[in-house]
Amino acid sequence: MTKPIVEIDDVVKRFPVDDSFFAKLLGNETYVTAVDGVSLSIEPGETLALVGESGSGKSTLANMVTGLHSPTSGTVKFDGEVVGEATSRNKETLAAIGMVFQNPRGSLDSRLTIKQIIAEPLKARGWSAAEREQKVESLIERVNLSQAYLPRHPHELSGGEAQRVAIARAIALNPRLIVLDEPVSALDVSVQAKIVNLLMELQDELNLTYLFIAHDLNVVEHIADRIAVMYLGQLMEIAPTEVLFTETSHPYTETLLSAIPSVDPTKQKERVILDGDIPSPINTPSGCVFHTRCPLADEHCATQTPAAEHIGESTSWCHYAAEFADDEKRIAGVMSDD
Amino acid sequence: MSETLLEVEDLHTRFATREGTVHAVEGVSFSVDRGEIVGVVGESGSGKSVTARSLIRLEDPGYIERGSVRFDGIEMTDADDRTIRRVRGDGMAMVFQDPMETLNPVFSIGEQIVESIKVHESPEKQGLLDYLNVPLFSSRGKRSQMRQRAIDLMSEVGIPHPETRVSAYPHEFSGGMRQRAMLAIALAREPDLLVADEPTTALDVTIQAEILQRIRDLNEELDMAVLMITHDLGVVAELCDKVVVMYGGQVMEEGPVEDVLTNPKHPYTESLLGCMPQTCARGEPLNVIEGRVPSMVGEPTGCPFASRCWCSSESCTSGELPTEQVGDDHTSRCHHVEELSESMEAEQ
Amino acid sequence: MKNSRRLGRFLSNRLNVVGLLFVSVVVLSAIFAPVIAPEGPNEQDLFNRLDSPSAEHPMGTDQLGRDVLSRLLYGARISLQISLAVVAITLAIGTAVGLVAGYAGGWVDEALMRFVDVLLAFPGILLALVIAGILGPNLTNIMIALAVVGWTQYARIIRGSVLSVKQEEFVKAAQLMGVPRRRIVLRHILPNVVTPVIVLATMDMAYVILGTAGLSFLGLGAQPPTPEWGTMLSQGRNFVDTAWWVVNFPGLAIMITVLGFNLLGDGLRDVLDPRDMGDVENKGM
Repeated sequence: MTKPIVEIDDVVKRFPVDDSFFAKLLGNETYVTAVDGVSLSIEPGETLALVGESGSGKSTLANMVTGLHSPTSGTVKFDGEVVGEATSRNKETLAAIGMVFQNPRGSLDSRLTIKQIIAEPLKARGWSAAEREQKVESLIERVNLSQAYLPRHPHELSGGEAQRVAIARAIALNPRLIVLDEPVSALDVSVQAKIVNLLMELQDELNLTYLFIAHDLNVVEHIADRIAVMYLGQLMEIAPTEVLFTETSHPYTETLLSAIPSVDPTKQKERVILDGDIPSPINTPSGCVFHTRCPLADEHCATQTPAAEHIGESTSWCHYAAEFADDEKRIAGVMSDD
Repeated sequence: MSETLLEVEDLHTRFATREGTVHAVEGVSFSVDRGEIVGVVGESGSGKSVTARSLIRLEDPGYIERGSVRFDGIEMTDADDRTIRRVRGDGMAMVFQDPMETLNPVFSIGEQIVESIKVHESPEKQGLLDYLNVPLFSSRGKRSQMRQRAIDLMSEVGIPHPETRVSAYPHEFSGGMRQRAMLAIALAREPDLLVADEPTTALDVTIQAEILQRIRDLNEELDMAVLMITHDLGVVAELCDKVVVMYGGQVMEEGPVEDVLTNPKHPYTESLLGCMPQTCARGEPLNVIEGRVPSMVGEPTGCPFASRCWCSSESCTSGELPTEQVGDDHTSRCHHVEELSESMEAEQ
Repeated sequence: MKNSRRLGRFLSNRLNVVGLLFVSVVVLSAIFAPVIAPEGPNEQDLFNRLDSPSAEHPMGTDQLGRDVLSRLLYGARISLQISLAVVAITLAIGTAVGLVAGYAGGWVDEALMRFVDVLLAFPGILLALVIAGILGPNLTNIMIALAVVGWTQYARIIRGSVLSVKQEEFVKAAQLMGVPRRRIVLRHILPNVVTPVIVLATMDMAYVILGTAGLSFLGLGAQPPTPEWGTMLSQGRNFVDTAWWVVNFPGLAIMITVLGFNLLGDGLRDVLDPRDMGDVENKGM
């Protein structure tokens, strides 16, 4: 087996909520635990999707891979070497990891031209003006935009066009890994399709590895090889895409899947509706973090943190993963017909 | 056939901008029956939100050029402010995508629901003393009664612990809770029609599923009609009885949800469905619609979708669009309906 | 095209035009004072003391027979020079401190901002009084006194804006590309935070002019015979009963200048607001 390109080992990230001088003095700083002991690895050439609701910690985890945050504890390795915050990374590592953000216009400086925006990473790497010129022209064409866009400013572009520019910038330094933080969530369906196609083409051509963060499971099902499901900073389940969609081994995944509206009105499925909101990440629930909303939870779940269980190709953090996968206790499975 | 509640006919809403007149809504017609859930679906720039706002006369800074909006026998396009206020207080309520824009940050959720109940009970009278809510002038009993009603409404829309949450402020609520609070405020007026503009777009799927469920329950229990504005065909399929597909400010196709989504009779609807990742095999390139949304500035000529349509012809680029009857209550505004059904049969 | 549109919007508000007009009049008088002034600012004519306005002296003469109009025109030079210098200094210091504090964060931010708090805790004009008192009364010291207090507000505003712009995705993107820190601050952050400060600087011109006049009036600034507006007011106030023109015209000059810069600042704020660039409806692709 090949060596993983990214290894995340028992990573924890806490953000201070109240770390004012007085709070420190009195010793009552409070923290939000955004990511709580996550371990996973990404293989070269694959697309790993991170899914979860807002507040699940999926973006924070991705930001630790890109270096926007450094872990409170645990390690993130890229190519076998521990990497910290972006400012402490060497130029090779910075070049090897690209990033595309959710809001295409927000990630482009509105005061620069498209040409300057795409040239920025090249400039940071010390390319000469002539080299940059040539590269920028080939990059803009690579993302299927004409060179006429180069002198324009971001606000003259549509959302889809701006996202293409952001992708061109992300691939400028021939990265090996691209972290995509909800790259199509802000786009219309017809535009989304084009960007998804572009991403798949680029992956084939440039041999890229993707860490794809999304909340839209439809897109994820289409593009991802493996899916990691997160809830309240912890992993619930990791499985190859087909397996996750057909043989779910975690009740949370089941509820997520059942919540996706189907476009086929003749195929109405039985839905698992969760009560209330995601609990506060300041005081996370004891035991399994999902037990407060899980339809199957019992006292055991409220006290014992579940360990990883391997069921076939998937790994699940649920006490009842095996039974659940067996369809015995499936919540909606019996009733749904798809 | 049940009674028509809202009838929109040939609605034109425009915006005057420096670049020229934006024809945001260009001759839209549809109707909503009592107790019916109608979806208006389209991408950004299709004019769906402007249509919704025009119905409730919130089209400003745009203006209604011509056309009519009849709600429960009242012509909204030339109604005076008083009538419009009465309709908003009593007949038509609106829920927006971003509840933070419409919730007032300095009043508690409970107070805002009570305010809405008051407006409903006496839409004409909005005296200063009522507004100030001075205990001296309003009876204590009535106030606690209203508060109780607010709590009931909150539990009806699925806000847990309404007794304690009633005095919470909007910023203490999560996105999903705010949207539920908006729903409670809208329901306080016991509307005949709820106009919901992308109410679940900013929410997680699990929360969206719950809110859609609530809307469906309320529709059944209260016989409240719903006009659901959305970009998500999935939401339409889940919730609606009837769907209006909009593009470039015009209605492209209209009909019962099952018919339109399983057997589209307009190339735009068909292409849009094709773009959904669900309709494509895993890892394969998704179907796309080439080209981009047309500029809405200036007088439109012909079908707005013509430049991106695979079956457009000379006749599509000029003149009025025909309204073809393609099934029971199912219409398509396309010159090539027959060719389209032939080609689809061939595919099958 | 964007700029011409902005200019059009700016001119469509009558108050903006008035502000622009007032400021232009003051600036032009300052530049062309030697050309348009009927006499030198300190030319005395002891035979024509406290003459009322006439064709020869449109604003009359003062207690030493100097032409009030000429002194006002030269006074505009002094007021504008001082305020430009003070605003330039405070703007530079404040922006630098704000950028450093906002971008670096942590203890650097904490230390700089607490220092700003301390300075702001003193009543500004009082602090300026003390400084002018210690250093001695002249125009240079007035500038120092006003600058010591003035930069703090720029630092605060810049820091606040930097904190929010720092969270923008385009800044994060630049960090991830390995763009050097200095370039991120100067190229990406600075242009996005200067707008509110430009507005503030315009209004600050008025504040400084008022401050200079105030300190001079109290005898801590310009000394006679310098034709400074505040000094003129101070000197002329003894004759207010008999010669209204000696006090009223300098007062009017101060008022027009201050009002002009304030109106101009208001207008700029409306026009420079970057949020008005979006279209009516966001277009998809």
